[in-house]
Amino acid sequence: MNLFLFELDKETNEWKQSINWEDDEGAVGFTLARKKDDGSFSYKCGVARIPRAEIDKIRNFPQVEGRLTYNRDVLDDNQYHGNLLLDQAVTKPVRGLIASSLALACSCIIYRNQ
Amino acid sequence: MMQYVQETDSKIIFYLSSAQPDPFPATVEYGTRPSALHKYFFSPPKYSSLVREAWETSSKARNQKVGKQARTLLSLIQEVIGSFELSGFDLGSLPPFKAFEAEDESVYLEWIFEHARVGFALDPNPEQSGWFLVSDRTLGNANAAGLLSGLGVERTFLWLFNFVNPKA
Repeated sequence: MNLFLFELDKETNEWKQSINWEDDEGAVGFTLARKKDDGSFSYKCGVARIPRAEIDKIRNFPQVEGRLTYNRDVLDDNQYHGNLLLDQAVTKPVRGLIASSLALACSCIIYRNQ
Repeated sequence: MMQYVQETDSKIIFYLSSAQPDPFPATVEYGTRPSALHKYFFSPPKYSSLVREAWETSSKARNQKVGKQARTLLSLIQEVIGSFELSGFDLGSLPPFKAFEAEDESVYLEWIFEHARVGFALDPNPEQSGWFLVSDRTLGNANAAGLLSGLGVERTFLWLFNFVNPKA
C-alpha cells in the first residue's frame, strides 16, 4: 500500500497520486523507460496496472462518496500523465483504505526488461 | 490478560468479558489453568516474526510519538495472537505485519492476505488514528474504516482478525 499513499499538493490542498493512463500499447513501455534527471530509471520496481473500473468501485465506497476523482494532466514530455485526486478532508484511516484498495485492485505489475 | 474462546466450526474467536463466568470451569491439580495463562509465563516464538519487521520500521520512524504508538499496537497484537496460540486455537498461517512511514510522519501498519488487507493508520494525534479493512470479491468486496478511539484497540483487532483469519 505504501506505493499508493497520496501526497498532499500544497498548492491545491488536495491529496494527489500521479498516474499514467494506458491509452495505447505504448503507454507501459513509455512509462518503464522514464528516467530521472540523474539518468536513473524512474520506476525501478516496474509499473502497476489497475483497471479504471476498480478505481470507480473505490470511488463508490460509502467512506469515499465520490471524494476520489481522476483527471488527465498532459505534460510537455508525457502525453499519458494524469492524477488520482482526493479531497483534503478525507481522514487518515480512509486514505489508508484507499491505498490498500488500490494495492488489492492491482491486476499485475509489469517489470522493465534488464 | 483478556480471555477468549474459539467457536469450533466457524473458528471465530470471541472475547470473554471478565464479568462473565468461565465457560469451561476446570479443577486445577497440576500447573496453571488453560484459561489463565499469562503473557509473561510463555513466549510465543512462532508469532514473534509476525511483528518483527514492522517493529523495526516503526523504531526508525521520524516521529517517535507515532513510532511508539505503532509499537504499543504491535505489542498488543502479538500478545493477543500469542494468547490464541497458547490456548490452542486454530489460526492457520498468518503473514507478517508491514509498516510504512508516510510523508506526513504518520505510520501505517498493514496485514496483507491473499483476498484482504487490514491496516492501521497512526497519527501523531492518537484521536485521529484508525483502522481499515478491504477485501476482494472472494471475501465479499468488503470495505470499512474507523477510528481506534471508539470500540477500543483490542476489540477492534479481534473483529478484524476474525474477518481475515484464513481458518475462520
